Amino acid sequence: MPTEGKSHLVVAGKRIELGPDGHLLDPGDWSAAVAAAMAHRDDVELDAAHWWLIRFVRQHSIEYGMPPLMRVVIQAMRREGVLEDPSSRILYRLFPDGPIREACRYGGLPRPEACI
Amino acid sequence: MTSDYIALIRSKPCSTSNRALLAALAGIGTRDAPATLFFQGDGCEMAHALAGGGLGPIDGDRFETCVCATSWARRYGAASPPAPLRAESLVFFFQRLALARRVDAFGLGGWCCCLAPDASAANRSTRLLLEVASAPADERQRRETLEVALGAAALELEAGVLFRGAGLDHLADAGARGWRQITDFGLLDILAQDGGGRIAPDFGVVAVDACRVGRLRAAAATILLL
Repeated sequence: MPTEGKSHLVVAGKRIELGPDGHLLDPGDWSAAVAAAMAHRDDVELDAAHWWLIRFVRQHSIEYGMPPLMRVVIQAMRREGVLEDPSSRILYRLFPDGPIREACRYGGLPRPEACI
Repeated sequence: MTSDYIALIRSKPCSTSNRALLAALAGIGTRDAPATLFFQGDGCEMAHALAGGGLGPIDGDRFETCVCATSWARRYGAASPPAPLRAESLVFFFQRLALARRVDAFGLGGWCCCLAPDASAANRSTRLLLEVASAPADERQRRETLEVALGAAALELEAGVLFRGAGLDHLADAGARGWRQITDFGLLDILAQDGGGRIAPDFGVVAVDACRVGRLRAAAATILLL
């Protein structure tokens, strides 16, 4: 079981530092266990759709240098049959505080610059 | 009341661009319908410079002066810009753009002006053409140009991005990876004039010649020179 503080988590014996906005200070610290520990701290249960979104946002950020547009996520979800009839409303049910931003946080990415 | 005029300002402050901006704004905007000025990218530096001088002839009665929140934060931090400047999003810009009858764009590569066709005209085009004609000076400039296109894509506007001249540098080398999401996911049309061998063949960019560029411009309701 991970231990936690406001500014850090301890996962598998390693101290993971968090910034003031809850994002990892060092993206290299990310692992699925770290994401699960963050979700546990937030009292969020990550299901298959959450994990798909986290991994998609991570992969998109690696490939294109930035997180995807919501439109892109919905398009990819439809293509891969992740959820029945995906939409921005469904994505907000997954992460009510902002699906892309929260997927970035659980995915170990910096807080997205959100002018779009 | 919302004005039917909007200007996108992306050029850095300098005597030439300042003069061009102020000349274009002469006689535009009224107390009842203030014109919208949206400063994005390096344009935020012009907004900052103008605000530092009290905005001079850009008075708060005739103009609402908005800065792109992200571009501003990159340069001056997360605090709100000084009044009368207001932080807004690219979504705000494109929503205002859709209502405008006259659109001026003060881009890094020059200036252009568009008068929208009469809203009641049959077969009125809503197509937006973004033209990129100058090379990115740095990664920030490259990203902020891309962000304008992504703003249009996020709103699913009928739009294309035309790269020409030095603007083709945006699509060259590893720095082009951000633009690839647009073709990979079919978000907007990406067109390149005389790209030659500078663009990777798997990019999904449509090569166009001068005749096609002329037709694209003629078909566009609005052209923004970025």
